[in-house]
Amino acid sequence: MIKKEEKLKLKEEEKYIPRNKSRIMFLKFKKNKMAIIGLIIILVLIFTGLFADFIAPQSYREQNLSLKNQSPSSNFWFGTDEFGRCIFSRIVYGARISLKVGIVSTGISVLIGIIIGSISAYYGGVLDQILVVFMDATYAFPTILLSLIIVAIIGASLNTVIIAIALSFWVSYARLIRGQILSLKNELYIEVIRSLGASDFTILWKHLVPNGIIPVVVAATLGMGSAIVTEATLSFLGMGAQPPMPSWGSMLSNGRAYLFLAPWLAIIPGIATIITVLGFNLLGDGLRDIMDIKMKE
Amino acid sequence: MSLLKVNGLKLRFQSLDGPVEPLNGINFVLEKGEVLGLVGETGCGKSITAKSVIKLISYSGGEIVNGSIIFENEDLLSKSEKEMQKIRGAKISLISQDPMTSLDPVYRVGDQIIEAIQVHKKLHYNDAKKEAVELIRLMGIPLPKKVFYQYPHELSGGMKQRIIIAIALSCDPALVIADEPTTALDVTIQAQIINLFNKLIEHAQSSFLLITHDLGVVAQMCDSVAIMYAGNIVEKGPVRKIFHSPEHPYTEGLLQCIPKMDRKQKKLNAIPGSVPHPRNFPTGCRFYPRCQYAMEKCLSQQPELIEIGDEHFVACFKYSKNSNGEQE
Repeated sequence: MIKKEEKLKLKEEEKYIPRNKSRIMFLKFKKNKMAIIGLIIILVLIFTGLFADFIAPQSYREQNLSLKNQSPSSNFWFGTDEFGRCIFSRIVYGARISLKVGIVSTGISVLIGIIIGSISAYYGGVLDQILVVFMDATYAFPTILLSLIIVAIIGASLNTVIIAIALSFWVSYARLIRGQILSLKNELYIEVIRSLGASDFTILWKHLVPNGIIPVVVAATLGMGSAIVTEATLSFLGMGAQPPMPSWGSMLSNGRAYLFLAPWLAIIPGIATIITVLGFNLLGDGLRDIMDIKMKE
Repeated sequence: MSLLKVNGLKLRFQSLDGPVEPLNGINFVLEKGEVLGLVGETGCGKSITAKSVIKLISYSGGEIVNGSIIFENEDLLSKSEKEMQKIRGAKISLISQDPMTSLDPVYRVGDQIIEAIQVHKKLHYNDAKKEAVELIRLMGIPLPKKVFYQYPHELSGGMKQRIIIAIALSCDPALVIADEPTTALDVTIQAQIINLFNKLIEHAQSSFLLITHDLGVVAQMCDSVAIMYAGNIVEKGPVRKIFHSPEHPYTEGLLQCIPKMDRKQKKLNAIPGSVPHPRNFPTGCRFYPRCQYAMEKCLSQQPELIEIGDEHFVACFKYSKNSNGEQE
């Protein structure tokens, strides 16, 4: 009898599916409708950006002055601009630029932010004070102004814009992770890990950062939206992607002159920007709810 | 040869009102394979003594100002942080007070045991996993393979404490410091954990330093016991002696505080007053304001630990002999 019971126990053990965090998160994600909508928007955008060459009916730079300022029609879904270029094609190619700016610049700024913020919080003391003063000084500048200064120094191009956005956005991530680690480093489990002989490196990067990173991930997702808007703003001001690159911001800026003659020139890139930012914001809000692993399933 | 020898340990904490020295020169010796209980009320300095032994006190804002900690014939105070990292976990490990918050919430418990193993042993993940599952099984946890994959928040307090004990024992340390391992658990789980400890003590080669305020736990687990009061060790000796014939007034008081099953008691005894704050420790013997035997001498002088019997030490003027060799 006892043997039978033991066998049953063993069977139960074998049957157990190891759950991991991604599985739990996936289950919770499925229930969160807003996050799914956000994810779909972003996936569609990524798909559009990756396969722009196949989706766009025409080249983004091909001019045809005899067809300028056409209203939307079956030939030109979103109409044509002042040079007779197909706006739909330009929007499709523009998705590539917006996504590149959003993801790359946010990636760089999150990386800088996490490294500086967590080192500042963990080691504390004079190093922390110096870094905090540096962060506060950077934070005091409006991000647009800071980006403008950086672009003005290096010169206007898409890559400059990416660097400029990264260098003006990192402070918020640094402050976020710093606050997290300041409170986490007094947790008992950190002391326990230290009492096991773990080095500072292990404690900081394997235990403190993973524990405090969730708010940063959420903020970064939301931040991608603002990075895209900042890129559009800089391009609108002529400091971003240079013509004939189809940045949504510069398209909007060009369309301003024809607002009464051909309003779609300005409206369509505006809507594209809004939808993209909305997608990132919905996903970011959803992630905030999903990432907390301790919440009930 | 003794495993651990703590000599005249003094700590200092910086506070806004100036430095505080909660320990007044702690001395104790732990032999190989011995289980020593360190008993005292809250705030008497037990936990900071434990943290000092593995030199983690600086992370709590303290500083060792005096004394020596000799472990395996080497003074830990002269070791660098890097050298201490090799000793922590491998030779001395710490079991902390609160199992609920002692595990990192983002990792599965199995991976945390594996991490503890891999910090000191160069083992492949799969080998370490086998060892970890075996450790979990050894802790008396049913379905160890399942528990291996669970997150800390999915386990109960008792289970977590078992995992923490498994982590502490993962590298077969020579010394295990258990800082109130049963305090945060309810009574039935406490009994299970104590049984587990007793089993481990029997089989493991390790020495244990058990910190507790529970004399019942001491009676069940320890070979010898040291009673602490306000940063001093006031009495130490083999468990049987201390329980049968407590000599220090404080130990006596402590034992009288325990209700007895075989005697009719209307009212439980209590020691009047409370433990003084480290900032305003009384001069002389730190226990005299609460002591029923207080003498004039206690006001001005601090009693030293003196041997009054076989391995039995007391710090009280009741037993000190004057120059004629007579008891006062």
